[in-house]
Amino acid sequence: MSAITVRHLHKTYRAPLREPGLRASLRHLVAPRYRTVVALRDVSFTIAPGEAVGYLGPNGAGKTTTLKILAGVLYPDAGQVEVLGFVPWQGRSAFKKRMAFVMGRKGQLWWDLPALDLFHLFREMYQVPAATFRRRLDDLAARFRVTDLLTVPVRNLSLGERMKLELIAALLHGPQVLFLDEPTLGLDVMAQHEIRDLLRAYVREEGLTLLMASHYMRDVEAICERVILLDEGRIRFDGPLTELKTRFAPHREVTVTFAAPPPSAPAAGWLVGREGPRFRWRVPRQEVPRLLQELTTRYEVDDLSVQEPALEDVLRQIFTTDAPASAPPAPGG
Amino acid sequence: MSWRPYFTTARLALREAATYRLNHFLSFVVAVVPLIALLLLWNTLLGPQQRLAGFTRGEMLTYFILTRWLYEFTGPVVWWDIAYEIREGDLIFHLLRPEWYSGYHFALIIGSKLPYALVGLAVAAPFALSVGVGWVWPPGVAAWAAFALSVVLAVALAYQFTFLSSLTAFWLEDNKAMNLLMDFVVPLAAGALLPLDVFPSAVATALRALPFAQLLYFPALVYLGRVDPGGWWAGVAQQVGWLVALLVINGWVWRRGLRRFRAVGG
Repeated sequence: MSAITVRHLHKTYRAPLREPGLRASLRHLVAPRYRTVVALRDVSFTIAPGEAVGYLGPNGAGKTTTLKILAGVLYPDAGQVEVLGFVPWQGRSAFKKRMAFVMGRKGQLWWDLPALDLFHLFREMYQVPAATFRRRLDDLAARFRVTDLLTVPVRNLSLGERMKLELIAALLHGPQVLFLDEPTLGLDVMAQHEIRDLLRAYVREEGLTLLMASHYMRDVEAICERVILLDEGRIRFDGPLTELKTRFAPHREVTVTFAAPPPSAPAAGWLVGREGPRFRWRVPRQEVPRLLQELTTRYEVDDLSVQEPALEDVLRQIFTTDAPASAPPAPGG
Repeated sequence: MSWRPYFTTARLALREAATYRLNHFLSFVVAVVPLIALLLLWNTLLGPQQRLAGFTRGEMLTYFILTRWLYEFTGPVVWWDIAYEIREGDLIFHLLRPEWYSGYHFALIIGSKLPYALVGLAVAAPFALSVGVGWVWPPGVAAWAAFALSVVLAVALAYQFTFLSSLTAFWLEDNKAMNLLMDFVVPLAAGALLPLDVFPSAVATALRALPFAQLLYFPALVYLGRVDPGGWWAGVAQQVGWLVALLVINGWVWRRGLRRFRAVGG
């Protein structure tokens, strides 16, 4: 049985059209004009219990809209959604107690009060037994290294510290499904790294089902095994991260620094750069072993490296070309 | 449903409000200055033996000071927090939690207004003393109880107006007009500035029929002992009737609003 099932999901928004100028403003008062924005078109996928899935796409692709529908705060125009057997927008308490949604752009803690006060309020709302709450809080505070910060007013904390406390607030009631929307947005590199590691460990140990939208590919690479690519409201790819690279980045970049300039460079793939004794080729993946063998047996080599394209580059290539990304059937559905 | 989270919310709001002590001091000053001016005006207009619309000078001053204080809780407002949450998308957090949204904000209002009400009491008390022997007290324990119940219902009714006016943020990008209505028209209709009896008879009758009169005018008259038992039951029945009607309306508006909610900015 799936933890999350989405079938033929559609969502459109109506956005007011506001032209500049006083006349246009007056006209809008009398006869407002709107444009329809299609946020999601026939989106379908399933996620198994305990699976961690990255949800990727450019701005406006429909990622956050999907998450909000799955979390039950937006109504779809059409389609079926089930999360843990619940229809999210029916807003049942039993559903809310089993899922959590964390947004990097927004926080639910009160600015002037310590997080601990709010944690106690949430404990009462979610009706978590006191002993369970204490155990979870101690565990999460220790993991996230924020035990000393629980009694500090939120306004006095750094962005990274606040994010850790927001995550704890979302996890205290023991959700089975976690939706994350840009959880490391705006954090410095160290804080991103730390939160990524903490999330990865927690999600795996607790067996959480995770759907995470992020622009930081390192977040996705670190935490998720599977990715869904969304573009203009449609799924363009759904499958393992490794398959994404294989399919959309069939080349590797081979860089070699010769001990002495060779009389002729080996023929392989495309030579994309040359600076003195340093050569760079883009080579079809299956040709890489032959090239490496040739380089190491026929030439005197100082340095040699083979690089996979970064996920960012793969995605840029996908989203900037109109080539159909041929979404395969979703695993498990 | 457990009530505990809402008591905790009110307590936290009280704690949060208590962090802004300078605000309370300033609100004290802001409350005192117009009160002095208006009391001087009443003293000038009404001699010790004079009556206005059937009110003695003591009754009028008591009514005026009492309603100034009561309005802190029984005056509907556009509650900025709700309007902001709807407009900026922060409502999403409340929808995610197993929470009674209306109850949560009611608790917030009670908690955050309590310090202001206490400051208001500190402001009102010396003025009440200054009225001296003319100050009116409820005639007995039963009158106190009747007054207390009418105030409790007025507070609940006021909040339903507050909730309704704040929910307009689902449709209106700017609630300024609603604010003006709540700040200037409703107090007049509720009898915050003058007892409704002061208005021309037709206007007074019309205003008494509106729900706003149940927020302030009715409890104040109960306090002054100007309502007989039959009138009290009728008044309480009106309060309950309006309360039920607004609960139904608010439920409908809330559900319609959620359909429009876009949860922007996430």
